[in-house]
This record gives sequence, C-alpha cells and structure tokens, in this order.
Amino acid sequence: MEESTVQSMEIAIRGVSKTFQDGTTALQPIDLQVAAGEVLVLLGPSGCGKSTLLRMIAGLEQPTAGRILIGDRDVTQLPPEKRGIGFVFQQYALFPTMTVEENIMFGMKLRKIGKQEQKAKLEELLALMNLTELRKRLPIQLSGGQQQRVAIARVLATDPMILLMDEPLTALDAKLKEHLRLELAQLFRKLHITTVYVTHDQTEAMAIADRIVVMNKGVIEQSGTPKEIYLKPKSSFVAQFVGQVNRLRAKVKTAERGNVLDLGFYQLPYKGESRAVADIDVFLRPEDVYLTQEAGFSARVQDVIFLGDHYRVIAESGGQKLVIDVGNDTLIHEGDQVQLEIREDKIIYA
Amino acid sequence: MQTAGKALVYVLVFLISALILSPLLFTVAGSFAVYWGADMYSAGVTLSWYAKVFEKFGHTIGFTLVLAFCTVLVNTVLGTMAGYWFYRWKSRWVFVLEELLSLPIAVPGIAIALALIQTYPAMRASGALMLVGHVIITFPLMFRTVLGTLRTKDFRTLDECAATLGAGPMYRFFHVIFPSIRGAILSGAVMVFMLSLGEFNMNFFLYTPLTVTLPIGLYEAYSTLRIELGSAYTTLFLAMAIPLMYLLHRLNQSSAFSRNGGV
Ligand SMILES: Nc1ncnc2c1ncn2[C@@H]1O[C@H](COP(=O)(O)OP(=O)(O)O)[C@@H](O)[C@H]1O
Ligand SMILES: [Mg+2]
Repeated sequence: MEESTVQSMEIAIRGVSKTFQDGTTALQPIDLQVAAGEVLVLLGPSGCGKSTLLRMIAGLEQPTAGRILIGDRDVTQLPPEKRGIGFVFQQYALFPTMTVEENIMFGMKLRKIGKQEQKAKLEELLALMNLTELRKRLPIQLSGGQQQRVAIARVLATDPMILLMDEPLTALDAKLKEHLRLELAQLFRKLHITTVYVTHDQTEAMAIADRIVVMNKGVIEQSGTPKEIYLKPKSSFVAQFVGQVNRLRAKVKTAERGNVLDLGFYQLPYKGESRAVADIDVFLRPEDVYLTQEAGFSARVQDVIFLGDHYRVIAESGGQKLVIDVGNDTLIHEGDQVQLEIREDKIIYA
Repeated sequence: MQTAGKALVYVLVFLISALILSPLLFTVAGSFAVYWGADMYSAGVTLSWYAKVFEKFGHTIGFTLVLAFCTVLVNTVLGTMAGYWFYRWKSRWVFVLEELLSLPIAVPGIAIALALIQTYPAMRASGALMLVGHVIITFPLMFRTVLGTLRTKDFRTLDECAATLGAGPMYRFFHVIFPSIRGAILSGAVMVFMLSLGEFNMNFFLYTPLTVTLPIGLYEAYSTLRIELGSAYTTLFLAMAIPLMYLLHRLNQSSAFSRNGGV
C-alpha cells in the first residue's frame, strides 16, 4: 500500500469507566491518550478489561461514564458505523456467505469510492496480504491464518482513521502466530495508522508496540515503551506479568556508605528510592544473574531445563529460589554447587 | 433375539403407519367412488366429484391460498425482524416478551377468534380480521425459528463486525444476517403457510359467506353434502399439503448442512 491516504487520528479517552448491567465493573475510570500514528498495545491478563475498553472505543459498548474522542470529534454517542474505525476480531468474523473478495469489498462498497478505485484497492490489498490466489474462496475453505489475513485486508480496505484489534492472533497456533506477528509489525510500520491492539501475550506486545499499556483488574498499571515496561516496571504486577522474573525477599539495612540490600545469601548496595529500613521484595530477570568463578555467592543447582538456545537453571541459595538463563554450551548439572553474580544495576525495585 | 427385536420394531412401525395412513388412503379411494357404501366401488368409478368440488368450492381454494400467501408475507417480514431485534437486544426482559409473543401457540384458536371479533368488529367483513388472526397464530413459528437459528451461531460478532465496517442496521440485516438465515426463514415460511392452509378452529368463527376457507368448505362438504364430495375435497387438500411437507423436509436438511459449514 502506498503512504496512507487518510490522515491518522489521535484518540482521547477521558474518565471512561464501565459497569455492566449485571453489576460487573470491568473498568475503573481511565484516562488514556493515543497519539496519531502510534501503535498502542493494551496488555493484561484475561478479564482485566482490555476488550471492554477497546469495544468502547469502537462503539460496540457504551461507557458508563466518560468521553471518547477520535481526532477532535466526540464519538461517545455515535454508533460504530459512524466512527470511521476498523476492528479486527479474535474470531476473524468473516461473512460466511461471501468470498474473500466480497468480504474485502464489503466496507468499500459502503463508501463513496469509484468502481475503478475500488478494484484497484482490492488488487492492492490482495497482493499486500498474500491472498491473490485465494480470492474466490469462501471463509470455510481457508485456514485460520488466511482467514485473519482476509479480516485485516477487509478492515484496511475501508481506510479507517484508527485501527482496533482484539487479540487477532490468539486463535492461531504458535508457529503461525509468530509469523503473522512479524507481518503485522511490518505492516504497522508501513501504514502509520493509529492502532490500539489488545493482547494478553507479552511477547506479541513487545514485538509490535510503540507503547504498551499494562492493565490489571480494570485499571492501568503502567504505560511506557516496551523497554521501559520490561526494564523499569513500576509495580510488582507489571514486573511479574511482563517476562520471566525472580521475586526475592530482602531487607534494607543501614551501613556506613549508604544502605545495603540484604538478600540473606548476598549483600548488594541498595539503589531503591525509599531510605527507610524495611523488609521488601525485589525482582530480578533470569538474564541478569550469571555464572562466575570468583566473588558472588554460592548456590546449589536444583534443576536444569534445556530450551534449545539456552538452559534455564533453577538454583537455590539461602532458602530463596533463583531462575537463571545460561548459554546452551555451559556444563552444568543438577546438584552442582555454583558461584553466581548479580548485575546490581538491573535489580528491579517495584 | 436381536432379529426378533428388529422384527418387532418393524411390525410396530408398520402398524402405527397403517393406523395413521389408512383413513387418508380410504378418503382418497372414496373420492373416486360414485357411491361410497359398504362396498366402495359397487356403483362404479368417477371423477365427477372433483368437478363438483371446483364448481362449488373453487373460490375457497383461491381465497385460502391468497390468505396463506398474505400471512406468509406479513410474517416473513414481522417474524424475521422481530427475531433479529430480539437477538440483538441485551436485556432480561427479552425472555419475558419472547414468551408473551409465543403465547398464541398455547391459547386456543376459539379464544383468539372471539377476542378479535370483540376488539375489531369492523374488520370482519373484508376478511382482514382473518388475516390478522392467521398472522397472530403463525407468528411464533416464524419468530422462534429465526431467533433459534440466530442463537445457534455467533451472529452477534458478524453483526458487530459489519457495523465497524460502516454498515447501518438495515444494511447489516439484508446483506449479512439475511443471507445466512435464508434457509431458516424459508422453512419458517413453509410452516406458516401450512398452518394457515389448515387452520379451522379460528376460521370457523371469523369467516363470512365471502371469506370461506378451504377447511371451512371441507367441513360444510362433509356435514351437509355427500361424503364422496368431501373426500375429493380432502384429496385436493392433501395434494397441496404433501409437496409442501416434502419441501420443508428438504429445507431442514439443507439448513442443517449449512449450519455445519456456516459462520
Ligand atoms: N457483556 C458483559 N456482561 C457482563 N460482564 C462482562 C461482559 N463483558 C465482559 N464482562 C466482564 O468484564 C470483565 C472484563 O472483561 P474483558 O474486557 O472481556 O476482559 P479481557 O478482554 O481483558 O479479557 C470480565 O470480568 C468479564 O467477565
Ligand atoms: Mg478480551
């Protein structure tokens, strides 16, 4: 597709909350701004309210309170068909009685576009999504991945001002998921269209997001770039939900040259914000602990799991469990006594 | 033991079929008799009863068909729309209203007929009241068939999807929902048609000399005229109803198939 013809719009969510008729509060009042052209990923566990928020942006649910703006237009009261959006559903939702072509043409026909232009656009999208061979097929004759590509083409055909996707890859098997994830990431980079993408899969979120918003129980826990979210999680929830992490019990103690963090089996300079002496939990990614010869602390290997490109090692020291990643050429066995060192600047005080 | 069991089942099936079919077969046979006495064809065979039926009751057949067609037309629109709206409507009152609209199945035709006469006396002469009555008693069939089919699959997502692509409610209905439930609507329509065709109970109270329907004519033929004439009349009725039965059967099969392939 050539540079997108439609200007992408920013989205403003102001104090939006949702309580369903049965009394379930899916969303506490939320404020969120999505910049024009930004790919924003809503990431969180199942049931945290991601879909509800997305469906309210689309107009498929009515907010209990608050306002939603697309560009500078308040769309809170508008039905979905008047919002100029595109929505990709987890279940593909292709029209079963229509062929691939007819599905893609569906939204185009509703717009004031010339016949020639429609045809050209159809060809372009078929090519873009690798569907040219399948154009005459019915949805039941397509695999899951093919169906989702049709669904994406169908949405792009309408030149949406914003693109909303609700777990578009979740129903696919792992290999296909990885493949389509890459395709999507490239597509987003090419299109520069404001996108809100919902997923519970943090790998997927990392791969495609400009910015990730982590949600939990109807509230936003943290918003930031994938790097910020991974390296500087602001809460223990975010630290544990995004990526693999060790949770360690520690004591903050006073010493002559600033406070120290006492893990029981090891002591490190304390770099947290609070100055108080206290019992705290800190987090540490598996890749931030490494094998060493000298220094460090000693630990006993409890389990070694081969994962192809690396080993995941479960070690124990001073009654605390540590998961660490080591290269697949390392000689390490269950029951070994090893020396470990921690990258102290990577300790997460959340 | 197993063969004996099987044989027993076959005998039972045969007996039951015979029990159901014999009266109909006798009626058909009797319609060709000059005089249906103790010995059916003792006075010879004739087609003259059929000629008489057309002469005396030809107009009732026409009227009945028109009435049934109109009923189907009205209910295809009403029942389908209602089914669609009910499907989309998210409220617990849906279930209460759904039961209310299905009430005509449980209420005897007489009661509905009398209520209609009391409420809309002016509509009786033209036969419009009869149409209203037929629409009321056949509505649940159409409505339930459509609603049931809509609920078997995730039409809500399709509907929502079409909306996000820019389609308004009407467009969505005619371009997305309707093509997917066409089979159900057709089979609903055939059921409505057959029910309207055979309705006696209510017609009996609502008809006027100008709006005699086939079942009323049939009743008259049996009760005041010759049994052979009535039989010929019945046979004609069966000749209309059986192809419809067959069509309905085919439709149900094909929609079961499309249910597996659809959505
Ligand atoms: N239509 C509904 N009626 C009542 N509760 C709902 C409805 N839709 C979602 N919920 C509830 O709202 C919460 C958030 O749901 P959802 O937004 O679908 O979560 P997510 O997409 O993050 O998995 C859940 O507890 C869910 O059960
Ligand atoms: Mg969801």
